[in-house]
Amino acid sequence: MRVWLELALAGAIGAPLRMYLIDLVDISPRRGRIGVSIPAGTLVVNAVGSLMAGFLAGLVRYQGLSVSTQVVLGAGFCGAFTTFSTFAFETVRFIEQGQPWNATKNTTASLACGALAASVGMAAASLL
Amino acid sequence: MSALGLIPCSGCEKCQDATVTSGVRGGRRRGVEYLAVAFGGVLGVLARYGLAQWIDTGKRTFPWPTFAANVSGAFVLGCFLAVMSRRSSDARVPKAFVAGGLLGSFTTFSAVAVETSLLVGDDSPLLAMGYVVATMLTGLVAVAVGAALGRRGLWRVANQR
Repeated sequence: MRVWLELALAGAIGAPLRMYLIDLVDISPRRGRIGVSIPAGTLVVNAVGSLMAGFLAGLVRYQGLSVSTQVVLGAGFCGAFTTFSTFAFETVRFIEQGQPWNATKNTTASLACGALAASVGMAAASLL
Repeated sequence: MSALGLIPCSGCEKCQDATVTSGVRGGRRRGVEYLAVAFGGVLGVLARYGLAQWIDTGKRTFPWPTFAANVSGAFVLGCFLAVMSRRSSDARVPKAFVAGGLLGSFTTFSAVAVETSLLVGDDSPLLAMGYVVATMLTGLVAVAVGAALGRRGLWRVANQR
């Protein structure tokens, strides 16, 4: 029962934080200058969340963090903070707008950043 | 309107720049939108955890719970946004609740990333690659199919008989 309450709290924090950060990145005045054509907000939250989730998975594997803590912080907070559906929608929207190149860029960049971030997080936990 | 109905109008700056939970160009976020996202986020996380308890696969296997949550969430999001794009109002609070909160939290990217690197670390690189490719392809198709159904109007399909 307690894990459900903690998960609920994790979701109540993770989801609004994601919306706030996506807004923050997507309206950043720097965005135009560095020429980002793909949805940078979603990319950033997914990479940051993957880094944290990888770190937590590494703590479980190397430092003996309890799995119940990982469930709440990893599956709960990081799971709510990152999103697949928004990413998938934005990619399909590129295809529909006749920009398959941007769809490919978005998919590749999201995957590469996410997987790399998770691996870095895990490796960092092993070094503690 | 575009083929899938995901682009409400063409050329309008607000739509072109819109994020999924509706564009910030349309004005600052209101507190009620954050409240809607938080509430949806709670439901989304609990639903995903419930699904994982129900399906529950072991280690070193295809991560079916995450896959199922992501694909079904992508399908519903495509459907929802296609239906919403038929309306003239921008409906920021419902979008924040469903798209940003509920489906945003029900689906997850961090689990995909972690599960993939765990599979690679467990000497299952082929499974890891298959998992990533399957998630991407199925997820993108799910958005498109959901949007196509939403655009046609699910209610009309249901009332045809």
